[in-house]
Amino acid sequence: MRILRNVLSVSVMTFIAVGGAHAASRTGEDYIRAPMPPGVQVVPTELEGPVFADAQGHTLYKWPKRGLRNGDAGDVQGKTLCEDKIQQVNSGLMSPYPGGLELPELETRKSCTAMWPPLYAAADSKPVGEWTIIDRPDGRKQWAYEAWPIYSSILDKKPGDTLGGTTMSSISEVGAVREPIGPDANVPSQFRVSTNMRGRQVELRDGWSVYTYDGDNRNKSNCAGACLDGWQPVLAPDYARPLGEWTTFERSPGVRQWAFRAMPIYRYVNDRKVGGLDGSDIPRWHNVYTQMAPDLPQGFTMKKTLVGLVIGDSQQRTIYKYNCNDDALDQLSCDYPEAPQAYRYAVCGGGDPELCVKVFPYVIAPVGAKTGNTVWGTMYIDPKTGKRATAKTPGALNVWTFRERPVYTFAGNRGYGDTKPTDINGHGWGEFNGSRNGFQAMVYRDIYSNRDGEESNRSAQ
Amino acid sequence: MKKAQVMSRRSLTVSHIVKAGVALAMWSGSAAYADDTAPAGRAIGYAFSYIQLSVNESEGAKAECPEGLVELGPREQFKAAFPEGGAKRTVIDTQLRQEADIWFPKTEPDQFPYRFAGGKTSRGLDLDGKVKPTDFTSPEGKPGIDNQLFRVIGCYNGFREAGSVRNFYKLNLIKANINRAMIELTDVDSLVNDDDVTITSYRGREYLVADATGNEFLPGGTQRVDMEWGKQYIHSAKGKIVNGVLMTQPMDFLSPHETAYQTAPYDLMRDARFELKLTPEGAQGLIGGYVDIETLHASRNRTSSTHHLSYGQEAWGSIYRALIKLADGFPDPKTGKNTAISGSYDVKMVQVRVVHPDKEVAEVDAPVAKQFADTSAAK
Repeated sequence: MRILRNVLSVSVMTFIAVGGAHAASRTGEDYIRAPMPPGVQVVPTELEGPVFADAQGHTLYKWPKRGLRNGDAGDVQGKTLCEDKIQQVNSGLMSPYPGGLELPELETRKSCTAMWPPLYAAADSKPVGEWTIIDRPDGRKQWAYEAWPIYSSILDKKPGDTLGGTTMSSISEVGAVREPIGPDANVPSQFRVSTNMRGRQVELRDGWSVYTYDGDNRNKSNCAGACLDGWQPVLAPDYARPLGEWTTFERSPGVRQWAFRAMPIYRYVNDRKVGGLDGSDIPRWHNVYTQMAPDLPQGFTMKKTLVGLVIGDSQQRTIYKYNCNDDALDQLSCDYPEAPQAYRYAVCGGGDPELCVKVFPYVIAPVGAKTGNTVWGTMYIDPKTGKRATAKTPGALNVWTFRERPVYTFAGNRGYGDTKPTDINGHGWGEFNGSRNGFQAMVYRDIYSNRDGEESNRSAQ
Repeated sequence: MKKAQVMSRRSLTVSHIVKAGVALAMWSGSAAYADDTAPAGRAIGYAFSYIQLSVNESEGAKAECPEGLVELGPREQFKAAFPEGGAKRTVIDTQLRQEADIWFPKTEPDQFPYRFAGGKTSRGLDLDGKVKPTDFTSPEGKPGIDNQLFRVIGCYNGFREAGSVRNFYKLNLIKANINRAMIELTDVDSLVNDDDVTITSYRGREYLVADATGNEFLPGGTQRVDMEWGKQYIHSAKGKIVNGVLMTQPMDFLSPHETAYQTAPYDLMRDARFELKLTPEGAQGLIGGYVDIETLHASRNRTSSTHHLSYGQEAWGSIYRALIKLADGFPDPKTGKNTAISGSYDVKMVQVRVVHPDKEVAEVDAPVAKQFADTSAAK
């Protein structure tokens, strides 16, 4: 009973405050202005902070090389491997399956450049700042940022969409995924900003979390004496100058401390790992974000599970997202409704769409439900095909989505599924712990790995 | 059953009265029944430093696997089922069909021959008090050992001492804390002989303390009980200590695992009984019980990918069908089919100081929510 009370407490409080108290800070991240090519602009996004976009406002992406099990995929700096060619077979880069297997739905498959239109440069374009120009195999010019060839995504429809990819950390087995690019956050060189499910989190440059304290005043620290046993003020060097929303103040003669939005910044000495958030369990201490992630849909909850805080639906059932990247050389994603559903059916129903819907049911949304943001939303799905449908499609379901991908619960099969609010038994269900072709719980705070915002390098096994 | 429970309660009551007397005597300065092996505070904790499903290995596997170890793992089965040069091979009809059989194993007979482990010897416990034709004899000569799981997994390299995945489990004990299984014994007046102790399983929050080699672990570390995220791992039973060996009544036991993305799978052993040689520095022995088949199937595949399991030739469609075939416990009330299989774990543990942060958690619960609801600096 106490667990339930606590979970309810978490969900209600989280919803109340995450759900609207900081609307002004949702897209408020400051960034460093730097020269850009003609037509390129910076657009605020709800999940990834400021990103570069083309003249139409479409987010720009890079496709950095990743080491897969049997070789590399993705671009190398200064050279594009995204071709105007429709891949017919898989590459065999993902162990244990061999290459040369015909890919699903070839009749509708697009080429890499059709899915990821290159950001072409005019023939007379000149490099500017970090932006350079590379030659494509067809003789055309393409913009590169920090030497990475740059593309847009046909999944993005409007300014602020980041449906083509995310900068949230992932293991290499996910595949060679595309990442949105943006300007550097306007933070002092001691800090960085990374994306996670909670928002755009400010960290020290080496990844340690930073905190603010409710007991402080604006540009004044009240943490002294015993308080300093647990909290290290993040000191500013002599040469530090105010920068955007960052200021310094003298906490004792000759000793200056950083403040963000006027709140003094600290490290927690008992954080045990890079990215750890243990200090936020101490009353009145908080992690620091330049902008919070968008609100959860109304009725969604935050609940305690074996790994930490996980997003749940209105009935406290764990919410799962589906991950999928195919194994062709162009590494196209297959996690959205227009992509081939055969991958998902294999791991959610043994190839049977009907069983799939029973094992990993869609999360049904009320008709007309709105979220007030573009990250969470609804769409109609034809459960027989898994494809996007309309309200008029017979049997269509109106389902909740995250980044325009349906989300799921795990009812399970043969008695194995989620039965309690703490269950996350579908977490890691599918190929490579659910990261390559499968399901993972939507973890809001990972207590044990602290891997949010930390690039994982755990593929050595 | 009810009578036994009543008896148990009665003896428990008598035992408690005796122990209350012991405690009173100790308080008044007399050692009474407590001996010098009594742990401080009448409690001692142990964290698992090794836990693997028991597989009895003879030299060259000749006794248990006379035809050799399993050779048809995921790669080999794929090659046999979908040969090159035959019909056109598609992702859907080959790779995804094989993955489908891993996650949703068909129950019809396997198309590949299965190599069960045989022989007469296996570690494990006598779970039913009977000596049956299918039972093993322990290496020490005790008959009636129930370990049908050994028959299923005994010839797979992945489950044997040299197996890669087995080694990953060992490494994960060093580098992770999400898999910190531990037990605490309470009401302990002697680590040598005590007819009434309580065993409780927990998940701890801390890393193990390794020695300089990184291969062994040191006693004396502190472990906070995970009362916030790991209550699911808490189970309790009564037990007794005879000549330094703990023997417990049955209880559910969840064994947590670490994964490449910490997805928190666990194994579930029903009616698990602990048989451990205790010392003040550590414990070692067996946990015998009935391993829940669906949980084992899910945990093994959620812990390791098909790629990883290929190292040890673990083709889980085939293994699942073998598990169902030899399942011998916990029949489904509706279908009558057994849902669990007898088996055992080999375990080693190091002594730890167990900290119960109940009070601390009570204070922290609400602020945990508040923290994620509010970010001062974002105002």
